[in-house]
Amino acid sequence: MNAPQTFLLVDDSVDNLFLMRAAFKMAKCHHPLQEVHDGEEAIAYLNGEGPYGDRKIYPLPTVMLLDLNMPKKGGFEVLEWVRAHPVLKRLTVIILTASTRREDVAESFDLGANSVLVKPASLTTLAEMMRCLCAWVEVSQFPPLMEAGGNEKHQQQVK
Amino acid sequence: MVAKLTPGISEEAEASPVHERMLAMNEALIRGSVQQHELTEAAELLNEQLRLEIAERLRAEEALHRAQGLLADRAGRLEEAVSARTLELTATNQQLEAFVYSIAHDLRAPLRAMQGFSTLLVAEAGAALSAQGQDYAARISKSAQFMDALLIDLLDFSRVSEQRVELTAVNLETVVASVLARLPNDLQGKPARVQSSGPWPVVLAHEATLAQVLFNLVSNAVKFVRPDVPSVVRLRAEERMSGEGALALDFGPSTPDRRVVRVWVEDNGPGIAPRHQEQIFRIFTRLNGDKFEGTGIGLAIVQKGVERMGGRVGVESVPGQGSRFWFELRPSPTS
Repeated sequence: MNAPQTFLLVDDSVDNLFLMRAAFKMAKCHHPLQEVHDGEEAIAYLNGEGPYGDRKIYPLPTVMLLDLNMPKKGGFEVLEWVRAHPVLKRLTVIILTASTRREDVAESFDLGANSVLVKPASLTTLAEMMRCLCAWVEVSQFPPLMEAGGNEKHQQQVK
Repeated sequence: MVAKLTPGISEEAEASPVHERMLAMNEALIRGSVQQHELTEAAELLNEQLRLEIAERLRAEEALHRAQGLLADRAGRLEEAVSARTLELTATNQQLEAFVYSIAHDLRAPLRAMQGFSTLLVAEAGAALSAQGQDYAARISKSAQFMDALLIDLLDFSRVSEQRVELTAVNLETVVASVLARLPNDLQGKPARVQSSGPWPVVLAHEATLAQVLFNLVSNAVKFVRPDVPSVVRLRAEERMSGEGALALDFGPSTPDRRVVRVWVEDNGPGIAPRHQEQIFRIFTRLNGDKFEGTGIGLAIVQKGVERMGGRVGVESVPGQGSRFWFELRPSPTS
């Protein structure tokens, strides 16, 4: 039950990624963290393309923390891609954005985000948010996300 | 048979009147022909006049047509100009929105980094820092947080100024309840008693804007406390005719002889001197320096928000006794 749950952090700012790791540490949340720097990389990671094919090093995440405003592919595009994917569609996606625009919140939920969090101004608050998130993850059940190979049965059902 | 009928008439006597009659007839005929000639002339004159008049009328009609065409053309061009201008304005508006969004997103990101890293500096390298060094780091962090609060308030102000405000029937009771529920999280460590006393009417408002207005007023009331007096904030509403109350600062278009709902947010804080009462609604105006936290935007949002909903705001205050802020909205016609 207490198997480590990988978090995939998607953010184009290295500072943000650094501070998020610090926040997880402050929150005493020791789940493995993976990071990618834009939407294209996020899709490559989830798809297991190139180096991400090695799931021992880059395991499928339980939760993806997704920024919205990013170069190449933005958060909305990644979210749309995930929800349209036959297998990954059940991945827990939490939008973590600086935007407080109501339209962005609405759009996130329309596209199937599981939650929308607004990046707080203070690191202490971010740590508190991550503590709550980890506590929630630990008491939650998540659907299995099979790899393409082990998933033929599921894909047949979809067809 | 004739002779019998005209007895006693001699030939001579007979010839003379006939001649005369013929002459008279001739004369009459001549006169008639002259008259006919005159009449024809008159008719011709009349005809000529008519022709002239018709020509004139045709010219006028033509001119009218031309004018109409010109007018339609002008109207068309005006319409084109208006729609072009509207398009331009829409584009400007979108640019503004994009600008505001970039303030929200891009300007806040480095602030978060400044704040975050100064926190980490103290947390992880605190032991190596002198007390002064720690104080500096704390000041950096505090300033970054304050600037973030400023940007958030500016965003709210621009949102209230720019967003489409459609008025619908809004139950004040629901809004008051939701605003009061949001308070404790935002005002930690400020023990204030907030009393709301109904009945709360239904008003014509934009719900999100109304909630923001009320939230800012109540936050303000809770914030400004006198050190020796436990803070008490009272919320209530009353129906009245607009225009009552000479102390009101008039910000909106006056609507004479109409029912309005006035919402009061009253506190027992330090109060506001009369000379400052108008000033406080201006953006970036702060009366208290560092004594109370604030960005100076909250009341500007209140004024702008109420204005956008077609209402008025004002304040009555006696320094040392507290302030009574109010705003007026129209009641819902169905209530």
